[in-house]
Amino acid sequence: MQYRPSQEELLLAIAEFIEGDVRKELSDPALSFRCLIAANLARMCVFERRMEEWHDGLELDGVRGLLDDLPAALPPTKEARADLLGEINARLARALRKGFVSIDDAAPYLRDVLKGRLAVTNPRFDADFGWETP
Amino acid sequence: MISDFHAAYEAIEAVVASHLGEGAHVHGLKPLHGGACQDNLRVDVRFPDGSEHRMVVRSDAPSSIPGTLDRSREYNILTAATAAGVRTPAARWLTHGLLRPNAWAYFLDWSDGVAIGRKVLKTDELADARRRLPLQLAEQAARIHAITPTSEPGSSITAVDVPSDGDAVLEGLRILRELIRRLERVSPATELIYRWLAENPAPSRDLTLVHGDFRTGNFMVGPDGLENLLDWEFSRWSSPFEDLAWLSVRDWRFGRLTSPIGGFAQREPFYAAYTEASGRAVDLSDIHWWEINGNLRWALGCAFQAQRYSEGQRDLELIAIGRRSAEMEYEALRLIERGVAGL
Repeated sequence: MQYRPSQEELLLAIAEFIEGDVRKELSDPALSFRCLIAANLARMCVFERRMEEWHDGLELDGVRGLLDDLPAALPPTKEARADLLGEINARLARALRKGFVSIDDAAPYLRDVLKGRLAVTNPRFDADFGWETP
Repeated sequence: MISDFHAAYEAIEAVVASHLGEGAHVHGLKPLHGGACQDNLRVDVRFPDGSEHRMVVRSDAPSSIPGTLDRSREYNILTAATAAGVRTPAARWLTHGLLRPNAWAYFLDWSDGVAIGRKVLKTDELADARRRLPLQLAEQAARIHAITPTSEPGSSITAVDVPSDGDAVLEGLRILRELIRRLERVSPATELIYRWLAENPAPSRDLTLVHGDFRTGNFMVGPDGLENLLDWEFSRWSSPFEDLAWLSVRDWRFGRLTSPIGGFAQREPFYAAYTEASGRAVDLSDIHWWEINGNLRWALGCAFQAQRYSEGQRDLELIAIGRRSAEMEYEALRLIERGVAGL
């Protein structure tokens, strides 16, 4: 189904409305701050939609060196992908807790996954800070 | 927040009158934002002698992050800290059921100044204050950390148990494990960070009182620097290095990443001032361990804030914080990878 305007346009319009029209009418600083949060959450949903398939693929491919018995490709629907990655996360967490996967092996993978997640949740987060010796 | 303002007003006036006598009146009441785990109200009180006193009523919120003290316990610790000369507003009139059933509340003397992290770091008028803060905070931390379970006034603290094995590092791990157990989500990064902490314990195991949330945002700052330390709800017996490291957790630098002490100073002069004031040398291995611990604790705290929202405490800020765990997990992985050199 192709709706117009798109979901993305609608979410961005909500963000703009809350941050602009609503916020400028408010004198309560706490409420005004929550308007910024609300607008950011709407934008975060846009970033997540744009990047979710790519992220899901990255998570599955990256974990292949750490866990066995993984499917060859991601399932087609969003729900099935979420279920699969949830299960993989739980398996990897358990394997780390029990010491079946080493810290050195898992750390680069988790760093990449988190870096991808940060690009969605906080695009202003400087993910390169402090990794190299100055 | 408080839903029935009129009832709150009457309840507060009744407590004030019971302590000060008939001539006392409350004539101003305003909710204060900032504390996510408790309700704070500003109250203006006219004492029977006609003098005006601005105070804060601090009450338990409907829910909080696990491990936080209720107001009754916080009051006990504040009283000990004040007796030890720590700069924090005096607390009085502990009451039960003041603003909501079964919630503890007490009154605090008002403190002037700015606490909001970004304002403390950016306001031009506070430039001198920021220069004074490292030394002032080092002195205050030393005073808090001079309180031990066996010394006065530490022995008057009944609010928090002394870990039976007397080991700050094992206690720090137990707290993290319990938070992980109570959380509804699983995170491989959390498990990796926890395992690293368990396999690479910090050298120092000693216990002192800690503030538990010793960071920019909980320091009331005026033109002369530190006015008061606020928010003791995470206070407990732990390693003094937990407080020192928490101040440097990346999120508490409020974007000023190259100023690792709270976003306003460098590490070396702060640690030197602390050693001078406390007589305790600062080993960077301890700081490194507790900074990783702090990042993990705050990552878990973020997840709990979102859980509070889904359990019914409808504050948009709570659910928004839930997604921020990744920032702290990422920083903890960086510190593990880089070692002490990454500080």
